[in-house]
Amino acid sequence: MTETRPTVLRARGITKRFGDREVLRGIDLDAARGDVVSILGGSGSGKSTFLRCLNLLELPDAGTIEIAGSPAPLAHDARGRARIANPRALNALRAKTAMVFQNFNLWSHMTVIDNIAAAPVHVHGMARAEAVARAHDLLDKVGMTGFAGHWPRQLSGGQQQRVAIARALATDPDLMLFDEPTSALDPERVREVLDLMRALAGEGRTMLIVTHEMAFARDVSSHVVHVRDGVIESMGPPALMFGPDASPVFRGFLSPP
Amino acid sequence: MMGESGTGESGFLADTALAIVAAVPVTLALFVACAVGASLLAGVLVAAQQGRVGGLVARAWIFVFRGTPLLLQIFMVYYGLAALGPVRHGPLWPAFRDPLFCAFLAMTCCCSAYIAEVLRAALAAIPPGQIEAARACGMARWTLGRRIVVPQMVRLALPAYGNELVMMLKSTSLASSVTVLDVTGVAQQVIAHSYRTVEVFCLAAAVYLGLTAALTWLLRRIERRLDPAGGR
Amino acid sequence: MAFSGMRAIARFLAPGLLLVLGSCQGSSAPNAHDELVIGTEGLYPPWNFTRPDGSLAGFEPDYLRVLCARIHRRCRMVAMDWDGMVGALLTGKIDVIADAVQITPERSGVLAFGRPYALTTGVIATLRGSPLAALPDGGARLDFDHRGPALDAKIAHLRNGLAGKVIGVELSGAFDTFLNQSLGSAVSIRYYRTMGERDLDLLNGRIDATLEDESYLHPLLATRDGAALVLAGPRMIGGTMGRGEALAFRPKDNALRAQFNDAIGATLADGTVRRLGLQWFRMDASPGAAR
Ligand SMILES: Nc1ncnc2c1ncn2[C@@H]1O[C@H](COP(=O)(O)OP(=O)(O)OP(=O)(O)O)[C@@H](O)[C@H]1O
Ligand SMILES: [Mg+2]
Repeated sequence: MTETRPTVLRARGITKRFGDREVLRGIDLDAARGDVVSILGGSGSGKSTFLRCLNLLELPDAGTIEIAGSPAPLAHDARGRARIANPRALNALRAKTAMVFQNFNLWSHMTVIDNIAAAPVHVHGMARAEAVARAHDLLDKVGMTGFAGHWPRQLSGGQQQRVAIARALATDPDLMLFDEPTSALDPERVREVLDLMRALAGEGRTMLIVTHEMAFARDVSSHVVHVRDGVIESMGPPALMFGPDASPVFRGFLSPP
Repeated sequence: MMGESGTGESGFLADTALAIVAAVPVTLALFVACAVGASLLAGVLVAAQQGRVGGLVARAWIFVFRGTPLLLQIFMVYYGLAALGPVRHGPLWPAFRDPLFCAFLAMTCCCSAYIAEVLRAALAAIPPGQIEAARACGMARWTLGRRIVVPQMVRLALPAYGNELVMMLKSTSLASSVTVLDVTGVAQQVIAHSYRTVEVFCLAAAVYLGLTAALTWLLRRIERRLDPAGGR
Repeated sequence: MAFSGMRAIARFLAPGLLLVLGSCQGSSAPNAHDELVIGTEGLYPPWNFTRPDGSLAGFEPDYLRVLCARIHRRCRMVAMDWDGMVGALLTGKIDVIADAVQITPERSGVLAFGRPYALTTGVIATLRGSPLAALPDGGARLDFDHRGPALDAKIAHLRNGLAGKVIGVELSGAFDTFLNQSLGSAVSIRYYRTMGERDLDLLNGRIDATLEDESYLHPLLATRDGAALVLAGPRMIGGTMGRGEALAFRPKDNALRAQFNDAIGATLADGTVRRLGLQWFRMDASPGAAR
């Protein structure tokens, strides 16, 4: 959005239907390197579906996606159904992204350190020793020093989410996707995760964050996007979106009558 | 055969125990061969179930072998196949002539059906979010299977799989019905000469108890090793 | 040498299955009154076998009817596995065993035998084309109770002739004991729980030969499937194979045994046993017959 920085995400006309229900009805979104985009919206508005379309966990029925210069390998069969044109390109595209889930989704059969080193080793072909060394650095960074040998189930939710963020950082992704990363946490654990994300934003990471944390969205984002019924209802810098000139619909969403 | 060396009650029991223990290698060999064969076959069945045609074949296989008694299957392989000209005059006859092989084949087919069901249930129990996390970071299909799906499946399947193995160990006794001299076969032989059903079967039962106890211990060790945090 | 497999399976295995099914409907348990329960296998034609309708027939069912009439007792014959028959006798589930039981030294330690009502020999049977068909001493009588150089020489012939072969035998305690003790090191022995299973494997070629009573083999050889078989080598008796077939009783039932012995003596004298033998075995199997 600032012209000097390279574009990391270019999504155009993303459409997705589940059965008869059109969940996404043409979403366009760009992000430049260092952008922190908060995606807000009511339950069922299609936020998660949009995020999952970006790394093709869901296949959009229409639209194009380009991440760090690589187009998503989407094709359509004779009946108009979306399919993957090239599994190799798909994995290459996904390897440029990283996702942090509401429920952490750490691999329960791996220790903390193996969770973090897995993608560098098994996706990017990094030597294991190097991956483990870097994983230890990341553990320090997310404040989990000393937990390398722990199993996911031995950690609290906040700790698991911080490990999941370290796992996401391990591949040095061009684009990080967060789907309500604090929604499954006890209120007193939310802080530790938000602080970490704030630090990442300060480092210039490109992040798309679906969240219900309004204060975080206002203070940390470079852009705020309001999704409603599968379309972007309004978007803009937080100063505008949380100011008096925001769209009435978004204001209604922020403070329901 | 019995009798000469035995001096009274304790002599008979000692002789019988020796004869039965001497048959343990046969029982164990049959069990290990079946465990390996059935597990590999079950893996193939589960893999086949991912496809459409393979799924039909695998389901039919499981339906047939789970739905009929193992004893009947052993008889079918041993007597039934031997009655077919192509088997009896074919190149495989030396194998089918051997009762131990027939018992192995029938048990492997039967147990593969049970283990396949155990593996299928384990596959279904893998948290989908963990597979999604692997896909989201760009893991290739095969890597995902090897690094995420199979290790999780093994862990989830282990308790039920261990149960199947214990059942299988005991089922090896059915091989005695086609003249295999395993622990049960030898016990029956001793009974035929001594007419002392209760004592001999008790000794055989004690041997099976020992074997299943050892197997259970081994399985528990593996379980603990794969999931050290489990017993926390 | 092809024999029609499925028909043979039906012939040899079906009687056993029928018995298993039949015996589930509760038979055993002698009633305390005066009824005698007689155990038999029902799978050893022509001594005793099970008809498709489940009823028992053969030499022993016929003969026991005669004996029971003579001692004025009501008798009921029940079929059971040989496996459990001695146990059933000793625990009182049955009172008498009539199952072509050979009087062997081993069994005499546990059972009390009545007077023998038949005296038959054991003989080797093999497939017609087998090299074993040419075993030496064909038809010669080998009495293991009369040891000596002549016997030893014939045993050596037998051992050499059978060396390395697989011999199937019913797990009963007579022929299997003999094989084990006299030939055990030279041959490999397969033990069967029923005759039918053993016969199938003999016809299949899974085993090279069997050692069985002539009274069983003669009728078998006369059947369509059995025609593929021939008898070979000497006819054997004595030693661990015993001398003759008799009823088996509990050792303490002396009075009952004496009653039966009298009846057996009378039926041997009046030709009843001879007549039944000719009817069922096509030979006079009575102990007195000069054979
Ligand atoms: N796999 C699916 N199959 C069918 N319908 C689906 C599927 N995934 C999502 N939906 C539907 O699509 C709609 C949008 O779902 P989505 O999860 O994107 O909403 P959301 O904005 O993330 O909501 P929330 O804030 O509750 O997470 C919902 O109505 C949901 O029921
Ligand atoms: Mg959502």
